[in-house]
Amino acid sequence: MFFNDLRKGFTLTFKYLFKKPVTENYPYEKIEMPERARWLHRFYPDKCIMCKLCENICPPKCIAVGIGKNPEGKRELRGYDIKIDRCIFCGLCVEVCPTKAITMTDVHEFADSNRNKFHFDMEQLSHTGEEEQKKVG
Amino acid sequence: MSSSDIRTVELNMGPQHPSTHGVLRLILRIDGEKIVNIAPRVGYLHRGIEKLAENMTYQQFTPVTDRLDYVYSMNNNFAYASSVEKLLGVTDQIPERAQYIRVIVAELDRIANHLVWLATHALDIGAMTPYFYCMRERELILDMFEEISGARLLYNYVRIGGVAKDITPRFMDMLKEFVKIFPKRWKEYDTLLTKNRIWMKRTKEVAVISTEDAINWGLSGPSLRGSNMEWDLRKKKPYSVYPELEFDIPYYSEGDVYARYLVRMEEMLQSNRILEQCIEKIPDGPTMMDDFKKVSKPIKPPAGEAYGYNEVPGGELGFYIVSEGKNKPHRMKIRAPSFVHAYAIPFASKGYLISDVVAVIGSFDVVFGECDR
Repeated sequence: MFFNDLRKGFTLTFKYLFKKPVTENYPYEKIEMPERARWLHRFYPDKCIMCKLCENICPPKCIAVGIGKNPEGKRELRGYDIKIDRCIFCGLCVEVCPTKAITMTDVHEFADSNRNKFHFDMEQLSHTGEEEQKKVG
Repeated sequence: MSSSDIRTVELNMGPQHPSTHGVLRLILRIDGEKIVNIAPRVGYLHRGIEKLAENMTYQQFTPVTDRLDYVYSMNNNFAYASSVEKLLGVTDQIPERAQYIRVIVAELDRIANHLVWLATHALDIGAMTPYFYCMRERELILDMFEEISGARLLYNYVRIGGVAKDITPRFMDMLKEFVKIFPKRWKEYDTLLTKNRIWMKRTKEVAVISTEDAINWGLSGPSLRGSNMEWDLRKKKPYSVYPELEFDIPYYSEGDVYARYLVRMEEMLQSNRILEQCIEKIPDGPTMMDDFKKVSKPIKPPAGEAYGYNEVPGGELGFYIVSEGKNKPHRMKIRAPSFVHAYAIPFASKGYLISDVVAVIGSFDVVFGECDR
C-alpha cells in the first residue's frame, strides 16, 4: 500500500531527470527584457519643458527638477535628480511626461553597496544605457 | 496563578521563522505538545498605507495598493480601481475590452497566488518537490505580466477607468499556450499531494472549523469555502464581466486543512476555465475611459462614501473610501482578508499539536504585506 504511494511520486520525479532544465543561467546568459520593461530612467534634457508634472505625480517624491533663470531672464533647466533608492519604478513619471523627456530603459544591473551612489543626477541619467554598451565592447 | 498555569509553558514562534510566511509572531502557550492558547502579534510590516492614502491623489495611490498583498498585486489594483469607480459612479462605463483584460489578469494572478501558496504550504509540511513545479508555472505567468505591464511583481497595471496599456499579440500567444498546458501541470501537483498518505495524515481532521464558526470569525474566500459554505463574491455579488462567464464555486464540507487545500486546488482549474472563455470572448475596442486617460488630471469624486469589494485569492478585499470632493480621499479603510484570517489562527489551532500550527498558518494563506498594511 505504502509502496504504491512512493511509486507514483517517484515515477513523476524520475521522468524529469531526462528533460531539459527550465532554469536560466542568469548572470552568465542575459535575459531578454520585454519592450515595456520598467527599469532605470533615461532623461533627455533638450526635450524637457520644465512642467514639473513628473515631480508632482511621483508617489515617493524622489524626483527633483531644478529650474533657474539665465542672465536674459528666461527659465532654464539647472538639474534633474532622481533618488533611485526611493524610486518604486511605477512608471507614472514616464506616463505623464508630455514630451517623452523621461523614459524607462531595460538597464537593471545597477546594484551597489554604497547608498550614496543611488542619487542620480542629470548627467548620469542622460547617458543611461550607453555605459553598458561600452563595458561589453 | 492557578495550578493549570504552572503546567503550561510559553513558547515564542517568529517573527523570523521559516514557516510563518513573513513576519507573523505567535506566542504559544503549550501543555506538553498541545496548544492551550495562542496570542498572535502582528504589525512588524506596518507602513501606514491607510494614512498614506490621505496624502496622495487617487491615481498616485494605485502603485501603493500593489504593496498590500504582493503575491496578488493585480487583484489589489483591480479592487482599488473598482472601488474608486464605484465612488465616481462610472462602473458601467468601463470599456468592454478593459473589463475582459481585467478579468484575465485577475484570474492569472489568482492561479499565480495559489501556486505560491501551494508551494510554500507543501514546503512547510515537508514536501519539497511541489515547490519547484509550482514556481516553474508561476514563472510563465510572471513573464506574461512583464510583457504587458513591464514589471514582474508590482504591476501598477489596472487603473481607474480601465487598464494602463492594451495587451500585446505576444501576450495572447503566451496565454493560449499557458491555458493549454496548465491542466497537465496541475495533474502533477495532484499526483504528488492529493492522495499522498503522509500529506493526508498531516492535513486531514486538523483545525476543523464549523460553518457557523467560520462565519462568526469573518473568514472569506477559500478558507470559508472549505467549511461547507458556498460563498464567492464573483457569483453572489457579481461585478465586472463575471456574470457572462461560466464557472463553479468549489466548496467542501469537512472544514479542515485538507478541505481548504482541495478548494484552492479546484479553484486553479476554475480560473483556467474562465481564461479559456475570456480568450474566445474578448472584444476589440478601447481599453481606457477617455476621462481618465491622463494620469496627471485630478479625479475629484463627489462628496460621499463607497465600499468596493472584490474576490481576491485570499478572500474579500474591500476598500471603504470617504470623499470630501477633493482630489485626495478623506479616509480610506482597507478590509484585508489576511488580517481577519491571522486572528482566526488561535481559534483554529487550539487543542492541536505544535507541528499542526504550521499547517494551519499555511492553510489560511496569510500574507503580511496586507495584514499589517
